[in-house]
Amino acid sequence: MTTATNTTTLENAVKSSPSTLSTLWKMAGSINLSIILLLLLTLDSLVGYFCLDRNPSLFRPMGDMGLMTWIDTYGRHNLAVTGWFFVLLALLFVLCCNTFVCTTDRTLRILRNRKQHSTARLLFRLAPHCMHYALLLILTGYLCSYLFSIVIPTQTLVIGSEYILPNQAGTIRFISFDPVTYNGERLYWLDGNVLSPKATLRLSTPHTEQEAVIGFNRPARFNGYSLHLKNFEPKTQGKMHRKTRIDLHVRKDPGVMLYLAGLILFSFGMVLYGCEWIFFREVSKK
Amino acid sequence: MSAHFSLQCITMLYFLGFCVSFVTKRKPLLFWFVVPALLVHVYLIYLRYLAAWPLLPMYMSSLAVPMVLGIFWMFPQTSSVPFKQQILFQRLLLLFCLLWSGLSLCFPKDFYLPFLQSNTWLAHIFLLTGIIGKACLLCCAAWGIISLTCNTQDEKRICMTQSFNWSIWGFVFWTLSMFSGEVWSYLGWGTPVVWEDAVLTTTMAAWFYYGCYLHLHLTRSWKIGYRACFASFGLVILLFATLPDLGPLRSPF
Repeated sequence: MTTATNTTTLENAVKSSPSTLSTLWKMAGSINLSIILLLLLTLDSLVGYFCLDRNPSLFRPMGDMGLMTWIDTYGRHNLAVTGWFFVLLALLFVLCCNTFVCTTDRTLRILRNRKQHSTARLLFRLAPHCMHYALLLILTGYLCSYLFSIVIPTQTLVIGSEYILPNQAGTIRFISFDPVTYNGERLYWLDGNVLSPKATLRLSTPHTEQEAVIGFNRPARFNGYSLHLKNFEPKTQGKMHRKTRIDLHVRKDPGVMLYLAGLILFSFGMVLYGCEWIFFREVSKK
Repeated sequence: MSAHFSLQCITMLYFLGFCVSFVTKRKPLLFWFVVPALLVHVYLIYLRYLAAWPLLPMYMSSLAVPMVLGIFWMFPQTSSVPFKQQILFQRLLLLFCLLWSGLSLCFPKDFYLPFLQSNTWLAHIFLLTGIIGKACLLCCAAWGIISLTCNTQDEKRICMTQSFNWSIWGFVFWTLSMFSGEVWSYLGWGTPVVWEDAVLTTTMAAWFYYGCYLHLHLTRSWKIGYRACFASFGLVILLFATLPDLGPLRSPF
């Protein structure tokens, strides 16, 4: 009797599973859910403002130590201040799921009816979905960046010194330092100081050798690593200055390409959407 | 003319313009207040840029927003908008100009020196698109508020269309500002987000809020009255987004 009842229940479950799945799918992609999530994210970010503004030193190390180490070191132990960040992560995760389901659903619908539209119209109709997928790409890129980045703590190099990358991936030698100095009265506080530092590095592997110039906002890429200038000396032009040195920040960030691609895709989608909005709005007006 | 005195003049001119807008509905008369205010404003921003270029002048957003709003005020309105709502919109823009220039007068954060990492065009795009975006979003909020005062559904619909149009431009510029900030952050510091400045949270909050507003409008999920309330509440979010630009209180006189 019990076995028969169990079989019937199982059959019912199997029969109902497609509809249950589709209900779940619909719920996950619901626009009302998106709206609730966006509102909660707004609220959470506003709470985050006060927490971050009063305790920036708690969040600053996240960029260097990665998400998991940061959670172990700072995040778990200061929940009153970092709680909003965990809520943000959870909300962003649900938003990603919601966006994926909603966008995939609508994109498939558009593609199914693609014969009804011209290619240009089809492209315009896909623009919002392009932006949504781009957002997913950006957020995935961020997550990869904070989870899997290899960050080498600041390396100080003086002229002629070398730094060997992990696993003998290459050698960085500091060759020369040629800063652009500001001389003038307009920026009186900068007179005689370095405006734009430029350090020349020799990047070599057993098979190749190349030179790269790095500066602020001008990193160099080498064998999958990016080399950022963090600090330098001397900062002033004059006789009594410190020994020439640079502080290098070396990172291997697997997420960077993802989020940069996401930014480009989002911008492309936005331009397309803008074109559609202006063009079709004008047409409908006429 | 000192920067502080220039800002006092600007605030006074916007205040007079706002008061006169209740007496007269003739826009040319108000030009006598807004145009000089704009000229002094341009001069003030020129001074701030002159003291920093090629670096980024720090915390200039709350100072420059009223200038962009003033420029928007000069634009002729679309003919589809009823005259009464046009007048209300102009009055609200003047009020926002007054509010934001008053904020930058009472809470100036003009004592910070620019930093060397800001010597890049990305930093300037980040600042300028952010300013334009905020001004557009304020216009969106203004139309939302006006929509709440409308008596007929037709008028409400027209106002909300205006609100939506401004929100699109605001969202585009705000997004461009965020993206240029992210690329700058990667190039300058090697990370997509610099966890040192709380401005990132208010920027994010405004982006989510207006993303939500666009979804509400495009999907027609809420009734027009609720959407108008939502657009109006954007003003509070934008005031929050201005918080990081404000320094300690200083006497305006």
